[in-house]
Amino acid sequence: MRVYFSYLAHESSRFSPIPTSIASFSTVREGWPLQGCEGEPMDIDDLSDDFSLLRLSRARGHEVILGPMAVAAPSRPANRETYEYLRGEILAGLRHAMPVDAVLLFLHGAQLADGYDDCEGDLLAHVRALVGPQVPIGVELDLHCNLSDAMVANATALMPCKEYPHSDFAERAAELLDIVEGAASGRLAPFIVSRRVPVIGNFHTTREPMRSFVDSIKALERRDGVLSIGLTHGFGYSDTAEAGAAVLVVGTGDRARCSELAERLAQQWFAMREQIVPPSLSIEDGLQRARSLQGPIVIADTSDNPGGGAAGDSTHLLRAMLERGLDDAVLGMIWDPVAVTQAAKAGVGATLPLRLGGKTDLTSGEPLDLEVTVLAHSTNARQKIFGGSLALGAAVAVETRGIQIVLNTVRQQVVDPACFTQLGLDPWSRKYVVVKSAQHFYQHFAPRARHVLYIDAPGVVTNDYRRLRYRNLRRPIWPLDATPLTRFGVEWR
Amino acid sequence: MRMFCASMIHETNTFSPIQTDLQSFADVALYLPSTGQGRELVEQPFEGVNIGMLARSRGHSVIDGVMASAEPSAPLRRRDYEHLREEILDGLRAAQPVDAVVLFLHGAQVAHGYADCEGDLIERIRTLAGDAVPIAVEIDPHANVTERMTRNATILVSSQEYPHVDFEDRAVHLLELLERTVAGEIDPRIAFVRVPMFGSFYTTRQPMRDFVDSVLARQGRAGILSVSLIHGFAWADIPDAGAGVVVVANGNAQLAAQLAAQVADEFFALRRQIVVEQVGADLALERALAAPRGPAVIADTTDNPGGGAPGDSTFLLRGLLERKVTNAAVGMLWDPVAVELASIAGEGAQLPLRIGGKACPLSGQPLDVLATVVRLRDDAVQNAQGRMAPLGRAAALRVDGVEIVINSLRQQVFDPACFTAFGIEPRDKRVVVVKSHQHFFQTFGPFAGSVIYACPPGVVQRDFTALPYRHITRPVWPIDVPPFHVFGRTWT
Repeated sequence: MRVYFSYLAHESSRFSPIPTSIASFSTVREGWPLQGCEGEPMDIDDLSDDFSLLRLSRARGHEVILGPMAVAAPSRPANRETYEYLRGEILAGLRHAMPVDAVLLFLHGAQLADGYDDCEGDLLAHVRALVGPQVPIGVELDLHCNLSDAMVANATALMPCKEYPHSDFAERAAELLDIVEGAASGRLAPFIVSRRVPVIGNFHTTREPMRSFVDSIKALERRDGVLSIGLTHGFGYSDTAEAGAAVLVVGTGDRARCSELAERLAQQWFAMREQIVPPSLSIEDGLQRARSLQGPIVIADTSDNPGGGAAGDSTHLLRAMLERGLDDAVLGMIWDPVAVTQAAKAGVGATLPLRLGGKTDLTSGEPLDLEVTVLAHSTNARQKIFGGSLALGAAVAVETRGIQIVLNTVRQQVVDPACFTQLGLDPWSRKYVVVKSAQHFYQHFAPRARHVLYIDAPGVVTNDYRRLRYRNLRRPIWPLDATPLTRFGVEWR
Repeated sequence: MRMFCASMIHETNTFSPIQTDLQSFADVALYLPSTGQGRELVEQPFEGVNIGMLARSRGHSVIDGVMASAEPSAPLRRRDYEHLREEILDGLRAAQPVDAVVLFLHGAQVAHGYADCEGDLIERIRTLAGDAVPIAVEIDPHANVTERMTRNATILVSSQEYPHVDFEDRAVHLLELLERTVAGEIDPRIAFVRVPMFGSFYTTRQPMRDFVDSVLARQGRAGILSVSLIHGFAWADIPDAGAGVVVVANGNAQLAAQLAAQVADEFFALRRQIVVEQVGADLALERALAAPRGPAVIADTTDNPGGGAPGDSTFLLRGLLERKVTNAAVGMLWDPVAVELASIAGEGAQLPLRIGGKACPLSGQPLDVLATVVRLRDDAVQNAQGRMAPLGRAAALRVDGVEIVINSLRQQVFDPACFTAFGIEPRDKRVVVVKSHQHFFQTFGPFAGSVIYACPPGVVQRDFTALPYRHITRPVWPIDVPPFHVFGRTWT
């Protein structure tokens, strides 16, 4: 079949200190050209998991017409012109490609812009209006999406990933393509039903009981008129009215049965809520705990995760480690272009006073004034991330009081130990391995760690949503409000 | 005549947190003949003077060596200094035979392993050129002159003005003396006397103004070819830091030494009258707000990037915001991170920003403000002593009643263009804060209602007793109180 593929990903946090414009986006060289994107241009292999849908479509012999492909690191909602420009180009590409047998999109699902609280819903409505009711629209999503009625109403099939870390985009792409192929050929007439779940939270699928919940859901798919089940975890940092989790079922059989299934899973999910949030520790408790354990201990500095919109330059955890005299540690990565330049100019082997971190805003904490020794300097280090690779930008490794710290210039979370090893550091020779990441580090770090601890310092990606100052989020919702609560017309216990 | 010219400028503040490598020169001005990098500099105005261009305009055949200038900062990396030096020496080797060597140097350059870069360089040039070839050197008055420099140079003169508006005049003076030397008309002999004092001496004020004029009036009379007051650069913790007097006399070293000693006495005797009162941030703001007419221009002297400071300290800006001063402007804060965030947000956007306080403890604490992005530019320039210096990516922000220019290429404010390029008119402001020690005066002085030299805490602090010196020669005023004995005599 002849399909149109486009890709747009920006996880938008209203708590992020990092603004967003068209300049914040990176494009894929092969795609429909976009103007003004200043991020490092990518090849499809640089984000291969995200592009599974594209590659699989080609592998299955479909004729793929490429639309715009653009991604920005998580940050504040983009300005209105940016989103409207991107939407306009996606629609222009589609118009250019038409007639098509299907539209395939990879979208984040939690994108906002000034004036748009649901970019994906808006975009899908425009795409539907353009292609008409008959052409299937299949959308692969990040599970940290805020599912909206507009998305459900305008897509033929929605396929969020199921794993956090998101290791399953390729499998989901195959399942989505199966459904879209069936719909395009007339073999299937899929519909989507969804049920909102009044929770916000970060739900790691690497731990029970979330692990078993995901597995049990997979066992219900592709039978009894259920094509696919998606659990959208929501993105609580977006601070939109409708932010939160949801269950969605793509079905072909009995609609009422699918609705009942969604309702049952939603209640089941809600009932598990206390057990599936991350075992977050305060700085005090976390470091005390870490001291008593044998290394290597991977400590996630979750609240300063650039992958959730944080600056990645907060000093709370590092300051606490220095104050308590914790050494034998590596820590990465602090986004600090000023300090990187100074350390690089001083050169490897130099010892210099450095004001480190705390550059972006109040949430970054106070900067640290340290005397550091420069261990390494690199301008071409990369890490493997989501199946592809991402340049760290100019980066240095410095050491102060037994703590080795990687500083870099392209804001990003730590997913791959290469963030350390590419700068000559061996994280596994140290007792403490501190990473600015909420959970994506887990895939490559956990296998080598004796323990994984999640420390929740003050920050914009805190695991404790009660600390955030919400302005728009509709209530009641757990954990901000007491349970049982009544929402979406039913009681939740 | 056939002459080899080279320029190497780096005022080195050994207390600066800002690190220095070859890239620091490339960021400002760097011509390397071996690779051709920056070749266009040969035909462009250079900060201060393009001495090769000037020599060519006087009919000489010039072979251009290295031209390098970096913003003042910490000592240069050893290998990078040696690279520059060897490139200069290679250039001379290739140019030989030459009738003369002409150098434009700062005079207060330090590299790791080299406390006296200029002395090292001039000595090596002397060895290479031999005794017969005259070496003429122009330096900045904020130089720490050493015996090694004056022993190996044939003629040495410095700019006599602060602001240094006379680099070109002094270069003409230097070339005239050199031409007469090569013609055999004169036989220059240098004497140098150190003056044991630290300070910033503004030639725009009395009695320094009259003193400079009286010193210059001695040139060209009674066998005296040239006199240079050396102000010294006290932010270099080296044995040779401090003021001095250089005299060049015709054929008579004794005469040169006598006059140098006499002028040194006069310079030292004036010390209390020629240093500027130290005014803290609070007092500076009080005076500015009490001034009968605007604009009150406050020089943030201690955070002057032109003296090796980062240019991101927040003391005066915090004071303006706390006092809710309106119709004020501050420029320029060096803050690449805030510039990047403001650029992404775009003109007209309002966003929470952390500005300043990014480089070191003496930058103060960063300020967390709600800023409106008034103007963004990446093509603005200012006239920095003749060189059109790019400001880098830059933004004008408005925070309450204060307009703030932030930029990404660290430099002092020389020129109101640092404001006007962003639509901010400093003439119409009540208070204007400039990150500069004195060079701003040339262009801001004419329209300023008043000029206040402020010294909040900072890297270029003027309380020398507070600097952690380890290598300077003591006693030195004002750290030590005269009468004291040093440099073979008693100073009172």
